[in-house]
Amino acid sequence: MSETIYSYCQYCMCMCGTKVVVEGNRVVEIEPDRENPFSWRDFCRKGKTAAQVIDHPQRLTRPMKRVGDRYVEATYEEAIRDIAARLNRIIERHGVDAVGSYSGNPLGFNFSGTMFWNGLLDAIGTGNRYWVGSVDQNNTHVVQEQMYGTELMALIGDVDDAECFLFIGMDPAQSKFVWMETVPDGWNRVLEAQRKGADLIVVDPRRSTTAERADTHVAIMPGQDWAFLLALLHVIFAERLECTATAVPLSGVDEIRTMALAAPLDELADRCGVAVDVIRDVARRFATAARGMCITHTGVSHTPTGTIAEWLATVLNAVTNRLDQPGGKRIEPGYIDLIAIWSKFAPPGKHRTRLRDQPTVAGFHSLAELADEITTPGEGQIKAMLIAAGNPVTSGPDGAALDQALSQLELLVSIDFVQRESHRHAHWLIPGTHFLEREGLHVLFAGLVELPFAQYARQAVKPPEGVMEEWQFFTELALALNRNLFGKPGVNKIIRASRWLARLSGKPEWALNPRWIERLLVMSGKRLKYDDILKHPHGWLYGKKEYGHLARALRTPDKTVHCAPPRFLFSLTRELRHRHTRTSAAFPMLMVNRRVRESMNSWLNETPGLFEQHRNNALEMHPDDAAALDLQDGQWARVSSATGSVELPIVIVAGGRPGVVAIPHGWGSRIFDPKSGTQPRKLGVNRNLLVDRREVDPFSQIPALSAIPVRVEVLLPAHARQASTAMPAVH
Amino acid sequence: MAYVIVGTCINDAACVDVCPVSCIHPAPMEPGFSTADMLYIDPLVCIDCNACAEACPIDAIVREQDLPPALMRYKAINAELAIARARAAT
Repeated sequence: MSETIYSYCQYCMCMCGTKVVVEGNRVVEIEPDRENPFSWRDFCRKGKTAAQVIDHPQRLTRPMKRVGDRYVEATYEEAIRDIAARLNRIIERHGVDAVGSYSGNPLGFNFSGTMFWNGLLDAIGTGNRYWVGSVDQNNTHVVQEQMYGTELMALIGDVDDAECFLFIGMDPAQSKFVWMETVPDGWNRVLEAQRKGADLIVVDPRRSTTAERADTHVAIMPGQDWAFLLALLHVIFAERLECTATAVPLSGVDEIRTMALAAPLDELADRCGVAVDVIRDVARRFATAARGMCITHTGVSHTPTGTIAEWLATVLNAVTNRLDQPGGKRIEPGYIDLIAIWSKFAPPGKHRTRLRDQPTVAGFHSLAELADEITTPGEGQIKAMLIAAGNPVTSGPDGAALDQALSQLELLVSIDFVQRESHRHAHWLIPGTHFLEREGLHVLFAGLVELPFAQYARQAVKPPEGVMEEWQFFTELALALNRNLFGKPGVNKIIRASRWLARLSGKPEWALNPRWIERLLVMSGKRLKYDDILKHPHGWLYGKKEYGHLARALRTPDKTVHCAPPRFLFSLTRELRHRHTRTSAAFPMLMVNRRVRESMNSWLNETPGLFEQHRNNALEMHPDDAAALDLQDGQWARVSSATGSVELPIVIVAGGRPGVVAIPHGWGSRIFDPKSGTQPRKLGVNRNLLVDRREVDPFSQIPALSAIPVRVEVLLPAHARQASTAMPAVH
Repeated sequence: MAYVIVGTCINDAACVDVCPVSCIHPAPMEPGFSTADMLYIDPLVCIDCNACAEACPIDAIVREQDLPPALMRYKAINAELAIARARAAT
């Protein structure tokens, strides 16, 4: 007897509706749910093969305790008791900041997990919180805070009505137009608009799948997006192409105009490696299009000047009246007050890091700082780490240094599906769950989706016998620590009382659970009823696309969009004054990142059904560079930076900018088997080993994951064979 | 809209491997694979994800909207082969 469950995929922000056929407690088939009124057309093999992840051969189904060099199974009771006792001892001896934490992308898709994770960290009271946003989108939070007055005001591309697309550092043909926004079927809709006459300008050092379809592809110098954007503003202001009556009130335009006009165009052109004529042409096409948008994604955020570039891109949209206009970038108000709730979940933290004295961004510190905070002795040194659904050694900069740091901890606890690279020194491995095994309403996504849309995620299968959901484990740990969940007095008493009532009444739902909070949040929005959302198994488009919400939503004191925040102006002035070349004789090329659809969001790439053609990452190289180095397609090369070196095969890709190489991230994480202790498995190489943890964007604190100076050397055939078959070195 | 396989197809089935909705036929395990002149895409099932076009070693898969006039007839050929398969199944 089979059953069909409608839900949505929770790997990436596409949120594709899914039709999951289940027999017994096993998934038989996953298909796109064509009845989902919002999203299903971006469905990919990652969603298709999601059930293979449930059956992962190395999946953890019991807590595992390290005993010497191996792991033994333990009960949750023993794990929670031991972890709580050790954490409390560390806190008593060294203070609350001695407990550090890191959470990865999959936890962000698990709303109950996110809520109770923050609840646990509040219970402990630590300020040493790190998260994946600091290697991804922190620059947008900083710019939104400075320009709109709140860290979470993601504006969404209004693709159908645009007549000019200016895409910088994004590859929607792969990423499907998702990042801090969800535009379902977005790439195909862009192509459709282009077919009807819209202008598509793609700025990317690589000849990406998106760039191949562009009317104009600008193969920019990596890391110089800010100079290109400032040059566009220069032309627009010089030729009076800006819009003086914008839909959203602006302030600071005079300051940025003065600065843009003072910057010599030919010098900016030289910095970004784009001809003045091309800059003029792009500026005119963008500014004179009736409707258009400039969008920047990780290709920009991963550079050392990602915040300045994001700011200038927003200014470009602002002064050409693209904000809150059809075909521009609009805000979706959603069904809850996202900004107020976000500030509750990620309150503007006052905590500063001990060593670099950095503030939090969106409530968390930068992963680039974590290794040093663990290894540098002194008051406030991190002695214990909790890692939830995260693999920071692979996702972050200089994984070798972080791996070394994690080995020195008194206590390392991972909460995850499998034991991955970052968990190899773990004292405790706590099982995680898969989205097919969970249910819930992700209320935080309501403001990141293109249309007024709500969908309750349904559970397709039950987790393996005895496996706790993440929120349950976090709750139990807070109780065992005898520290109030959410850091609020009396919460643990309420939890115990609710459980007692549930037992007494025989109604398990009376015990505190995430649905309580989801209901309260929906109620607080006063727009939808929780039960009405439940009545729409395929998801609910509860309204129409609207404009005119942005001006009201602004949180700046004067209710204007601030185009010239002083700290950005200051930084831009400094950037203009100093001219330094990133490359050198030792490291003459620049490495950038790239997206691969099946590897979004770079989690569990080893699923067998994902990559039938290619099961690793490779170094993409321009034909001219390959010829200069006498390299052939498929040959192995060593790529070195000042931080580290990796070895991988070469793919020669025509087009793009010579002198630039690309390696996709998210590969090279080992998968361990704590049960059998057999040799770990690994696919591809971790290119982030080449990333310096000390070079960060000063505002977003994102390390320079792109535009990294590197050297490429050919590996002799004998050497290459060894490199391809040898087990990876322990970094 | 859908993707269309054109006559240069060499039946290497790289596209079949990557299609998330199994809309490319005949697959290697299906009847007719060994004798097929070319593979085809069922336009009613295709979700325009572009995975097949990326996987095709000889660029024999084209977005319907991008078909040049000389290859336009393959849109109908793909659709007819899909209808024939559906009929054979009932």
